[in-house]
Amino acid sequence: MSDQPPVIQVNDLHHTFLRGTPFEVQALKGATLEIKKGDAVGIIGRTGAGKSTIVQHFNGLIRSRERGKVIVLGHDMADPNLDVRAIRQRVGLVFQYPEAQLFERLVGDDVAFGPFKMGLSIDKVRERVRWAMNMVGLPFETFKDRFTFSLSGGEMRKAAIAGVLALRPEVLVLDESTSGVDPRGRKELLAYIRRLHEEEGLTIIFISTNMEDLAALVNHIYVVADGRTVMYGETGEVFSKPDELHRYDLGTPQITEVMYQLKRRGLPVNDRCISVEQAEEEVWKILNS
Amino acid sequence: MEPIIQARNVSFAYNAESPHPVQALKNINLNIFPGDYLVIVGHNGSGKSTLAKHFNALLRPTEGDVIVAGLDTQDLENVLGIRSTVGMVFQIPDNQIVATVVQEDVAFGPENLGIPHDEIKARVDWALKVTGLEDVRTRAPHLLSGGQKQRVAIAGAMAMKTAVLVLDEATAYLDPVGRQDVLRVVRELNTQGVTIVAITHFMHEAIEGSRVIVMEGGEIVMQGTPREIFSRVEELRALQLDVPQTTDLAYRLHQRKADFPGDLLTVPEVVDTICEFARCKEAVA
Repeated sequence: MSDQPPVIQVNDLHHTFLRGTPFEVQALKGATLEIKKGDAVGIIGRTGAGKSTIVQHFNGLIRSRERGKVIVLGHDMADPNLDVRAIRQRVGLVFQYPEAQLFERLVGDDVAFGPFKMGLSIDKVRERVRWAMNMVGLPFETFKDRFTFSLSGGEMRKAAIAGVLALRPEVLVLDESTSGVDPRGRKELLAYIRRLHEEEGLTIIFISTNMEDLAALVNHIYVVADGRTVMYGETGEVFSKPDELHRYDLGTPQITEVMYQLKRRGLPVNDRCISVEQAEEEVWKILNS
Repeated sequence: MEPIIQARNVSFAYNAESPHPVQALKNINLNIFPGDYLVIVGHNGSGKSTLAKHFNALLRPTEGDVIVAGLDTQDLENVLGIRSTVGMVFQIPDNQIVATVVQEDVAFGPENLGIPHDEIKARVDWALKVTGLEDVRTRAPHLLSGGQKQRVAIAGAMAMKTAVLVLDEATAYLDPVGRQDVLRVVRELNTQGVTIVAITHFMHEAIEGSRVIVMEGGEIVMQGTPREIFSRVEELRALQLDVPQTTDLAYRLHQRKADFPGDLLTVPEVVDTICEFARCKEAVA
């Protein structure tokens, strides 16, 4: 991973909402990130920490004119002559309530909207829509003529993600796109996201408050607190520092917490375990040695 | 003790009159007693929100009865009495906040009940104190964090001084800290005697309750204390529900070593038990 070129570089980024008004909020006070091509990166932090503000810089939804620099796929986002539309096709952003992103009557039309606006031929559009819908588990033939608003909550999310995928982005940003779905739907979405990462090679940027989900998906984690990036490391490494995370009002997956405490009690376990399977083997070694 | 909410053979169908009714509840029997902390878990579409909406007469059963504090929800005359007994907090706080200042939003409910000014003030002060919102009482709700907004919604329901508070996935969109804040407030209310009915996807929140019911396909499929429910790992898996990682680990160790308890719930329990087993082994060696 380390030899891959960065797709996103953010250096000392500052941003203030409603600047110059009584409601002024300084959302970013120095965020620095580097995301490598093909990586899966988690961004965590409590609400209001600035996570969403950061990722909205990745496709130019926000272009801060304050301090700091954002380079996306080699383009300086502050460049006034930049073709932002082209960036938005390459960096797809799925929001927190993705079902609110749907607006067409039929699912197939909704997914087709993006590629259609890119001026692709009907055949090309169709091919992309088919691929995108299949990638998220909405079989094209079954779902293309369904009414958008007859879908379940989980299916709506898949349709919204398909709509972004149909742009064939290289980077997929998911801003809490799995919260509020039931466990069944969430697990399914996660499995499809993992497949996009592993089989299609997409760079994944995943914001979530579910530490177990993060542990199962991402390789690296950035911690954001009060508008600044404050921790970075491999997933197991970040989660093995619960005391530091607690300082930023964050937790760890339960299983990492267990291993951490066992280690503190003097048992020789690896506290970088991020899955129950790993933990089971670690504990078994002790109980059975 | 008399149950405060009783569901007797409750069935409910959406669009019951149409040619395509959707059967959401099938023959539910449930008693909720004063002081209970009941947690309802299940997937989307399992009927849990539909059931909760029966508890304050937002929905009425197509068959069977729901009795709230002795009042039958079928009788429209009873609606006011029922809603003064059962308060509701929904999933997305923004849909439930009406005023432009936090303390005014919290006062909205009691104001509409025509309660005297001093009493309203006392209730608002109490609700803001328990929910930890005193510092933001004069702020605009839409500029608060998600967890704070949800606590505003809860404070608003509290100020009605209802005997029962129903939380319909009130923590679904919150971050871990916001979630902990809300759970702490709910726990506090429960110790003050408020009956709690909490609906959630998060299995680790079910541990909070004194009783858990699991719903699937409009029916109650499991029922018991959190420990009883979570020790049935295979059944939960079959329902594709999350099993807390702690319980999962205990269960796996139990499979490999029969005397390791398989029904552990919390992190400290698991840590203590593993240490105990490790130490026993040392002692033997």
